[in-house]
Amino acid sequence: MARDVGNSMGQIVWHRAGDVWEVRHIQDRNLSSGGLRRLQDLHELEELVRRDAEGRYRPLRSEANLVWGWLYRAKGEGEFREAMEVIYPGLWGNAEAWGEGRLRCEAWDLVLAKQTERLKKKTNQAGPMPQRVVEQNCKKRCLKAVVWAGEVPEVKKGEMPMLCTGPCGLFWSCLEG
Amino acid sequence: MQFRDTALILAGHGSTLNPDSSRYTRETAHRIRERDIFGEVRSAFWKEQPSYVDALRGLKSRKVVVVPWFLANGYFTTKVLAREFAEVSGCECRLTDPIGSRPEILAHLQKRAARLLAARGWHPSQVSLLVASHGTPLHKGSREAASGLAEQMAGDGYRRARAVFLEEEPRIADWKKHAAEGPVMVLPHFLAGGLHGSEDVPELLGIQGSAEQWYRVEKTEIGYGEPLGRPEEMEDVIVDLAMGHLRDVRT
Repeated sequence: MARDVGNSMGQIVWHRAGDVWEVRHIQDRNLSSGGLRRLQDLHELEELVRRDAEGRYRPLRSEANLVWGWLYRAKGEGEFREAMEVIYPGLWGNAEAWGEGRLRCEAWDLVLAKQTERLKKKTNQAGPMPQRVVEQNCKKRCLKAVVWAGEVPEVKKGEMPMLCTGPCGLFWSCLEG
Repeated sequence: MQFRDTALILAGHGSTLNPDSSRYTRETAHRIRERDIFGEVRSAFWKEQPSYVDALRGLKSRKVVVVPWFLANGYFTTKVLAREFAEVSGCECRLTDPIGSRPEILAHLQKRAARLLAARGWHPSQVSLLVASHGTPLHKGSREAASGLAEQMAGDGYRRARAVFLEEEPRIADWKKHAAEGPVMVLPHFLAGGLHGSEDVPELLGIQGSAEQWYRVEKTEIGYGEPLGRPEEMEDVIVDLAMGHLRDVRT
């Protein structure tokens, strides 16, 4: 990771000091470390990001409801990447692929072909259902740009973009109703 | 032995509704990560994040061994996982048998049965045993796994021992038809955390709760066992499956 990777992604900011990568919520960026809960390992981080501030299950990791008030100190670049995989799974790889011009999206008909017969039937009966789910679910709830549905991401300086390359489990759940 | 150039992925089902569905998978992944055998250890899911694609995209390792967090060589293991991990650009993915294929599963069921029998001071010959599983007309693997376990447990001397299913015959809902008179022990052939083992099966049996204990239903006592998949029981099973597969590849 010799090249510049910015210092933020979605609701996360990081700061590197020597071998230590300090990761926190963007809302806590100006707070002193002492005022934040220090997370001990990746498992504790994973448990934290699975729930919102009210303790409700958070199945969509890229929803803009990441809890704040914590700090994770990764020892080295490898652990920092692991932490980012926990917070935003798969998105670092997508951002790198985008930067290098090799990001590939899943084709809608191929993705649909992998679903159960019941879901395929429901999708086909509903007409332009996917676009409705994209508008009402993806674009309202998720921080990712829906690249697979044609959205062009706005990439800001210093930010790693959050890019969606295909329908997720929550998309299908919304489609099922 | 270490496989520092290899990533281990525990591939489960997960849920967008039930936060506990994946809990044991994630806890088991964490336990294995702490042992420092594999370069990376991840859990990934069909329904929740990280998805299988997410998990693969974030890996540094180019060699990946995938252990299915499923109880049978059924539809998910042989169709969905085989397809999802078949051709991944830049990765060499190897899929092992599911955790349910291991002989330890029988021992874990027997442990649950022994605890329930001890709670009442009964001998297997006084009790009917039902192994409650999912089953699906889509694939015979799930049925075969549960039926095989029931047949093996019949050797322990139960009055009757058979498998019953949610989605095929004989049905869990018809449990009274399939048990002899007297107490009935039901062992869920489900992984812990899911709704089938904690809600659906207890409801079909008419018991109030899903904790491992005896319940009274009309004039019958039903002993309900704990679902499978506790991290301390699965950790070695998974490491053995993954390492065994990788050793076979090396030789």
